Amino acid sequence: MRKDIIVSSRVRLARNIAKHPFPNRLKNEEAGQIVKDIRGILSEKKYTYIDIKNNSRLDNLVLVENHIISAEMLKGEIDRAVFLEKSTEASIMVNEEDHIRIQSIVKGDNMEAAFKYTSEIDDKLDKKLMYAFNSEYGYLTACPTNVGTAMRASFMIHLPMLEVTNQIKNAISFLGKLGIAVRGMYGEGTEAKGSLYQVSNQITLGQSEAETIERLNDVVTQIINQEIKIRNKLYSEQKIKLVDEIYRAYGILTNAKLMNIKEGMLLLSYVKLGMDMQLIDKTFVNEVDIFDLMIKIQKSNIEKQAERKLQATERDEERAKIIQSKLLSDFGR
Amino acid sequence: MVKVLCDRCNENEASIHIKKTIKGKSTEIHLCDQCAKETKENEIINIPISFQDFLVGLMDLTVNDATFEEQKESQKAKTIKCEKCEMTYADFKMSGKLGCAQCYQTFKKQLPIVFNKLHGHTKHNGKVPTRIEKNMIKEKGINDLKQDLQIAILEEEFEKAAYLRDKIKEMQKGAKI
Repeated sequence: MRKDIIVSSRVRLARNIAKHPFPNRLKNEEAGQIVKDIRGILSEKKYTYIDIKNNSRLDNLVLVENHIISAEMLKGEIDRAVFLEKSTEASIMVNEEDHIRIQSIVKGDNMEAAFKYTSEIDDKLDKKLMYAFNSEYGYLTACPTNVGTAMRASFMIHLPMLEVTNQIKNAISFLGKLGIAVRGMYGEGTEAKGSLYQVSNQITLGQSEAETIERLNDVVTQIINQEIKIRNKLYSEQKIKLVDEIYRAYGILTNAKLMNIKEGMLLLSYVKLGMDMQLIDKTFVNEVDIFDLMIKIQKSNIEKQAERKLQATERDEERAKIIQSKLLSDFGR
Repeated sequence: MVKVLCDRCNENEASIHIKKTIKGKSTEIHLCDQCAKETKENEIINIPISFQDFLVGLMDLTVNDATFEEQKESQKAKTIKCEKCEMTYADFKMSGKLGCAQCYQTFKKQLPIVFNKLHGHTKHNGKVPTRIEKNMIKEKGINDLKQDLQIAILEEEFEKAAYLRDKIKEMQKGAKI
C-alpha cells in the first residue's frame, strides 16, 4: 500500500557561484554569463537546454505544471534557463532564487535514487565551479531558510481518507511541529487537489542530508500508516459504500462531456484509491497512471495539446475527452 | 524591555503585540493574555500568511525578544551595508533574501539569531564541496599525526617522534600550497 500512497520522491539542491551576486541582485549580463558557463559544463547531448526567458508563455506554464520548473522561475526578468536530463528525471534550473537548483523527481518511494541523481549532477558542477560555501553555514543561499545542506527532500503522497475524515489538519499541524512542511500538489500556497500533498523538510542547517531524509521518511511513514488504518477500517466496515463511491467516480469520468479541474482531480483521486485498494481492476481502467493523468488535465497541458487558447467550456470538454481517451481502451474506436 | 500595559484593561502587562498594516496604515495593539483570550484580535493568527511574510516577521521577532542592548545593536545593524552587493540589513529584512555570498560575512553578527529561529542550529553538518573536503582530509590527517606524535613522546619513542614531526611539517607545507 505504501508504494501506491507515495506518488513520487523528490530532492532539490540549491547552489550558488561564489563570485556572482545572488539572482535577486544580479545584472543581466552576469546572469547570461552564468547560463553560458553552465551550458558549457552540461554540454553532453543528454542535457536538453531550454531558454526560459525566450520560451513561449504556454510552454513555460506546461513546464511548471509538469513540475520541471517552479512558478517562481516565470517571474524573473534576467536570463534564465533549465536543463533536462530524462533518464534521471532531473532538471537543473539556472537563475531561479539561487543560481543553480538541481532537482530529481523519481516515481514512487525512492528518495535514495532522487538524492543520488541530484548529488551526481552537483558533483559534476562542483568540479568546474567555485560554489558559495562557508564551513560554518554550509552552502550559501539567497534565502536563509535554505542555508546549510540547501537540500529540500519531498514526498508527494496521496491521502484521500485522511482528508475525508478531516484528520488531515491534525496531521499537518503535527508535521509542522516536527519541522516538516506540507503543501499542495503545486507548492507554496496552493490548495491540495486530488488529495495530493507534498511533504518536505524545513530544516537545512545542522542536519546532514542522510539524517534529513531519514527523519522525513520516519514522519511520512507515520502519516501513511494513519491513512492505511482508515482505509482498512472503511474496508472492513463499509466496503460497499466505498466501492459505490469509486464506481460512481469512474462512471462520471468515463461518461461526462464536460469536466472541470476540481471535479476531475477529485474523481481521479477516488479512482486511484480504488485501484490501490484493489476495489477496481487495473485492467478495467487501462492500467493508467493516475498521477500522470492528473497533470495532463491541467489547464496549460490541455491548451498545449489543443495547440490553441481555449475558453473555459472548451477546456472542460477537452479535459473530459483526455480522461476518457486514457481510461477507456476502446475510446474513439 | 520596557513594560507595555494592555490596551484593553490597562492593568496587566501586555504579552501579545499585534501590528496590523492595512493599505499601508499601521496600527499596533498590545494585549495581556486574559484580554487576548476574550477578544477576537488573536484570531489574526489564523489568517493565512505567505512564507515571505512569515520570515520577515520572524526577523522582527528576534528584535522583540532581544534585550535593550541587543535592540540598540539591531538598530545600528539596519544601516550595515554589504560592500559587494550593496544590500543593507534593512533590505534583507524587507525581502527576506540576501544579496550575495559576502552578505553572510557582512551580517555575521545578526544572522545566527535568524538561523537559530529557522533551523534550531547555527552550524552546517553535511555535504561539502570537493575543494574544501580535500583540505579537511589533510587537516584531519595532520591532527591524527599530531596525536601520534604526542603518544610517541610520552612513550619515549624518540626516533618515531622525529619521523612524525618531519612528516607533519611536510604536510603543513603542502596544505599551504
